[in-house]
Amino acid sequence: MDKVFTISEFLDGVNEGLTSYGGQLIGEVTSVVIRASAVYFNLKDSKENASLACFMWLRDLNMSGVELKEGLEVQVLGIPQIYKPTGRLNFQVKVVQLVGEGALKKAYLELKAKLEKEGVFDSKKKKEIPAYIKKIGVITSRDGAVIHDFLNNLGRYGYDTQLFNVHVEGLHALKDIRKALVHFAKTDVDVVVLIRGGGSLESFAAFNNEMLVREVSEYSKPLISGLGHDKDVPLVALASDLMTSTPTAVTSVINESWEQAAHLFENLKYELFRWGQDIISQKAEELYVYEKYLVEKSFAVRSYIQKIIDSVSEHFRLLKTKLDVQKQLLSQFERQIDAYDPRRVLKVGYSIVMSKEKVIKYISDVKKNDRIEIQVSDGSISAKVL
Amino acid sequence: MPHKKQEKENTSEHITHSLQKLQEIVTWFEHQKEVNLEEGLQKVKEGADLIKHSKARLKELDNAFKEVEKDLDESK
Repeated sequence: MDKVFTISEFLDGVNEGLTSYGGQLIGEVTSVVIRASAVYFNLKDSKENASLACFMWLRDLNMSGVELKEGLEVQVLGIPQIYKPTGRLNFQVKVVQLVGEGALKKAYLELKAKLEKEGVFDSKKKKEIPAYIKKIGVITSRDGAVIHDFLNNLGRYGYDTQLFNVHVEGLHALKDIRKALVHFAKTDVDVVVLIRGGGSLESFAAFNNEMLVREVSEYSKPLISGLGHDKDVPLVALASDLMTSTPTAVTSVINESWEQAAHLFENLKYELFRWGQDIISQKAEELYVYEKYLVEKSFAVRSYIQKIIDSVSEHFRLLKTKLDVQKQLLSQFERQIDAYDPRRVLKVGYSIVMSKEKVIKYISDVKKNDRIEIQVSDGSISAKVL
Repeated sequence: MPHKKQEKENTSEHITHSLQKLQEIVTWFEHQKEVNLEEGLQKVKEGADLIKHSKARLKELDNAFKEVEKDLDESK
């Protein structure tokens, strides 16, 4: 405690300590003053005599999309700080949001009319949601039933799902959702999904923020909204490329093309099977006809071959008969010639005497000293006439 | 040898002709009132030669027929 601070050092230290007192306040707006790039206003309690000076950069006010007016009830997010030049305590507001259904409804209707007039919700601006989505960027709270319902209802088509965890209501929601949109704009996803469950108009304040609605309208990637609501459609939903009323309905949109493909595939499978059966039946019938034809032809060919064999056999038999006849003839000639053979008489003792290859029939056929051949049954004898 | 081969071919190819020749020899003998011994012997020798070759040829043909008969039986 011996250290002596300058005022500035002291206030820096106090301000650092005051950051832990940051939070959300609710109150009625009084005395609004806009100077250069900042707005100064007071918030007071409606029931008790308590007031707090507030400071807000205009850019934060614009981002909040609230037109500050005296008498408005608002909820703000910020931190207390001592403004060093004056030494006064201020509440530095980062986000401001309207409170009360009446005010919210009025602001909602005015903004809706304004944006409609500008064509922010025009169907011409809507990007086509691609078929066969694979990569999905999901913006929602990781707590609660919504993300589980969404994931449970996504079909098993091999999706690559990336979750960006955000506050889906309250004063942090706007900033979170904007960060998520920036993230997915730079990420390789086919579609971005913004989902949350139902709630009051007040809880949907971020989804009716003008800046966010404009950003969604101009977003670089196809965006599907699945924001549960009662009567008033969130303006972000109107600005999205495809609006559904529940997170589950978003899954139906994403699954649709895959389900159709699966159905088509099933039909094709059935058609292919039936087509295959038809072809097989047709070919089997053709085969039967061919088989029948071949069997007939086979009989015809066999019959033809048999005829040829029979014919050959017949000619063969005729030839063989002829051969037998010739054999018989030959035997007959052999016997006859044998019967006429003059040499047969040689066996009973007769001889044939030949000289100079002539048969000697008379004595005058030879003379003294002629050589003669005497043929007998088993050979011939050479002799000389004496 | 060429002479023998030619003779065989002639005999083989003309078995019908040989039979005709034999028939002529037989007819010649039948028409002789008195057989001239030299001529008769010549005819007998000629006939015996024709018979010898015709028998050989008929044997060959017989064997060939047996082969064909076997083939025909197998083809049925």
